[in-house]
Amino acid sequence: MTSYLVRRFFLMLLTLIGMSIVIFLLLRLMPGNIADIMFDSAGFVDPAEKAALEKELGLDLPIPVQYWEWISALVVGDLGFSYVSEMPAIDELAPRIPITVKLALMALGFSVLFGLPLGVISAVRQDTMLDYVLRVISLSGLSLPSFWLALLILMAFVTYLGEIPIYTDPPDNLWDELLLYTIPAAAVGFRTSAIIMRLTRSSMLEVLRQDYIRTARSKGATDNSVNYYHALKNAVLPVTTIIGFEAAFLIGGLIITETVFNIPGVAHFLVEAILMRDYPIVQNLVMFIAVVVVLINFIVDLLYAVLDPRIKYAD
Amino acid sequence: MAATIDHDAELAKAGAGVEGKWGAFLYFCRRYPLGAAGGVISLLFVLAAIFADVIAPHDPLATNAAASLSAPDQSFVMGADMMGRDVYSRIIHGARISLAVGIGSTLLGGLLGVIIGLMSGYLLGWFDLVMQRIIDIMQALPLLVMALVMAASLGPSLENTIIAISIPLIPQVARVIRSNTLSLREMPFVEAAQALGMSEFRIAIRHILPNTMAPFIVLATAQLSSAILTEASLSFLGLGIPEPHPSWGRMLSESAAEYVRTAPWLVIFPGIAISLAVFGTNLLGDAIRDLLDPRQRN
Amino acid sequence: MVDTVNENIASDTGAEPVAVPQDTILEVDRLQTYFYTRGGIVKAVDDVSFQLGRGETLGIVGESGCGKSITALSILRLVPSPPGRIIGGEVRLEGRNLLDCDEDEMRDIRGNEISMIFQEPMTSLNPVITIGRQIGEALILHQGMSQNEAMEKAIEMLALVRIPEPQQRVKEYPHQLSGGMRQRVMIAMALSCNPKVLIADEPTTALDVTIQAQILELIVELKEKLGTAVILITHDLGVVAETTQRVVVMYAGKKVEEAEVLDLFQNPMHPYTQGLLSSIPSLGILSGDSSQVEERLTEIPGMVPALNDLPVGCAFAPRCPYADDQCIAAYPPYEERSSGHWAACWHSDKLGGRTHG
Repeated sequence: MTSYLVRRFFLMLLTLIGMSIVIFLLLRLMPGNIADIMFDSAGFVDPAEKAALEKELGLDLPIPVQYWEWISALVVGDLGFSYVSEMPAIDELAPRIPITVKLALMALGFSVLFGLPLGVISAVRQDTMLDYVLRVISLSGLSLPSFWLALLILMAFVTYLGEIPIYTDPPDNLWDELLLYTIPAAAVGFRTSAIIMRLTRSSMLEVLRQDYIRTARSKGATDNSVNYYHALKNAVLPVTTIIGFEAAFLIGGLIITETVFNIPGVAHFLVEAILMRDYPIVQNLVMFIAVVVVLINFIVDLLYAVLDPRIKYAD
Repeated sequence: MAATIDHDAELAKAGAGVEGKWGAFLYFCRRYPLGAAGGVISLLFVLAAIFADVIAPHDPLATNAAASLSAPDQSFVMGADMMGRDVYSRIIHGARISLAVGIGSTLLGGLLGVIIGLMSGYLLGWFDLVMQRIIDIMQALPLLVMALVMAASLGPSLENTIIAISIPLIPQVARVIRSNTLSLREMPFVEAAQALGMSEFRIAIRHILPNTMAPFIVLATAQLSSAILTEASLSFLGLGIPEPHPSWGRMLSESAAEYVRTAPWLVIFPGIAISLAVFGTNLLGDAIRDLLDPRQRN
Repeated sequence: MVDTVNENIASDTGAEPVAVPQDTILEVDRLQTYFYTRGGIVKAVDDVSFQLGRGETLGIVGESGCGKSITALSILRLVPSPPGRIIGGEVRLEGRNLLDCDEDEMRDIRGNEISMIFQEPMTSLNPVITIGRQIGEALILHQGMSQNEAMEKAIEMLALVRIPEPQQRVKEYPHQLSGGMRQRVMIAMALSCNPKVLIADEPTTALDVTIQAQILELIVELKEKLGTAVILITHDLGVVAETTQRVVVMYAGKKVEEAEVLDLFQNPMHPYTQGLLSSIPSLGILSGDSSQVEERLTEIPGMVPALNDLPVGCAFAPRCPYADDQCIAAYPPYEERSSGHWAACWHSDKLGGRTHG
């Protein structure tokens, strides 16, 4: 077990180092930097001033040196300064992270709550009318773009309630906050719940064909026992993986939803920072996302070992 | 319980007596009604893209100040946008972009993924080790985040959008092809080919590659719909197809939240176009998976 | 072991000249199970009848795909549907037709009055549920035991099937056991409610040869101990010779021959049975005919016909050395050729006494 953990840790570290190089190079490949954008919007270009700004931000240094400066600072927890606000990047990011995390958790809760049971029902009632309806709903979840869904929800609010529930000021208390996040979380969670539902269904169908299901029936087990005990206990294993995976990937859906609902979370902030070439924000934020993804995958692997008696990370 | 069994009805349900291509087609439609519906939607989507010039009543790029934000009427069946461009014509032409990006990035990502997966699974050794780590890195970011950064770094254009979306599609394909290759190379027919002295390259291309195509097609149809959706998202965020091209996502982005109140047709119709196209490809993809994936068969 | 069984056969045959014992527990009567597939109707079980006496061991023999497993699944009404359907006949357990029972009644019978052991011990146990719970399930269901009582009984059953350290094993998962051990668990599970009938579908096929004998011995021993009637489905005539009293031979979904085991071995009346017998090496010794040992093993030429495209006449005709126009034109009647020995062949007379063996 220990050697497994050590090995996993080094692989995670390797992945993250690779990620940092990829993201750093991609950002340096971008046409134009913050200096270009600022001077473009100012309407004139004085090469000397632009060079001075680039020098101040360290953009004139060779790329390996820039990379080294970023990483060596990152290791000691120094995220640098935002080019746009000139505030420490950590101060820009820190208040936004909890917002996105809350949204993501709500969306995930929503997805599991709907996706898992509906997937099981769909499989158990395979090829019935109910199954067809559930499959069409889950496919819509995969097909409706989350930003459109969000816009439709906004439209419904405008039409029937006359007001738009978008974020204006920080909510006063937790209850208001949860209320405010319900709709965006549902808009994002719909897709995830559809993914969970589809995987649960196909996993259940796969399991229901296994020999041990026939064995259970031959013992006289009831349909409920066969479906919800014998089959589900097995079928839920691959679903765990996808739930972990999707938990990390919810951030993708949140990029859009936070933008539409004007919620000041990190996902929304990422797009703004990319458009402004605010490197310290983008590279640190993308690294943060990568760390979360890698950690969640690791946790899911460990959880799998708990759920599946066949897996033991002995060595 | 054995009283009334209609042999013919039971057989028809099971698909007996299916003959020829036409018969197989009809059977597919009967067995997978949702898939057939998806096929029809996908076909409409493709036809709209091919014959956009013939179908669209207006030039999708022609602006008309007088028609700015005009509601759906006889000349603008789906209304007009702020610059007075016909929404319907733009949606028809938008099918081209969606289809080009969808198919382009799925094929590009698929091709690279197949090459990497096949080489990884067949050569193993250091190549596989390095590739596995690279794939790990690529999978450490959500598709949209990866595509977002790629699109931003490449700059907005049709070609760059295709590349930006295709790269994050590679790891999934490479994984599936690699694991299939790993099991295939242990198969007796591969060992037989080796025993006959066939070259490794020839074995990989002639014997292993064709056998990985079924799972690849299943995956590629699923990726096609997510590529279309990702293009719409990127364009919505202003990082995909640049103006004035009529991309569906772009049509929704132009401060759409503002038009929710004043010009809902600008929100509703492009959204329906995206949803329908993705829904259709998803339905078709599901049916193809049921058909090709032997584990899903009864 | 072979000797004792043979003695049993001999004494049974002596005491009861009629093949069907008076005290019948299970009767399968003109059973028909069809599969509706893209390729047409597959007559997996077509007009199959047999009786099982109390405490008797009946063998059902045939190649893979001849319908013997589907017959077993039909008895428990576990044929996967679609595509399978039981479309005719009766299965009577102590006179009660199981095909008329509703699902609830059927569940009371499964695992309680009729149990089944499957071919694949590696895949037939649920990988994420402990062995104890899997054995205990039937006890809780059918005997209303509590969880604790069921565990106690599960340990008892594991000891009965001679699994070492049953207290430990009961808490383990299937993957921690070998194939032979898992099949013992399957047996413990099947016998936990002391069923009247045990159906063993190729219980030893997937196991190592060395383990096969142990498992068979265990089934025979427990059958004697508990008085269970056993239907043993196999393609291995050696297994049949060692364990059963009466044999039904199936070919292409139909019953082609039925006889006392010794009678069948010495005097096969269907060319298919004869073919099966001459393709096993140990036969010479068993039939007491030493010349057989010297003879080369023969195989049955050709392949089992596709069940969705059976000929009008005898299904075995294309592979049969005795086939003539009559065989191709019409299906032979299933008749009693000698006392308690039934066969469906136009040429049974020519086969008598193994003169052509």
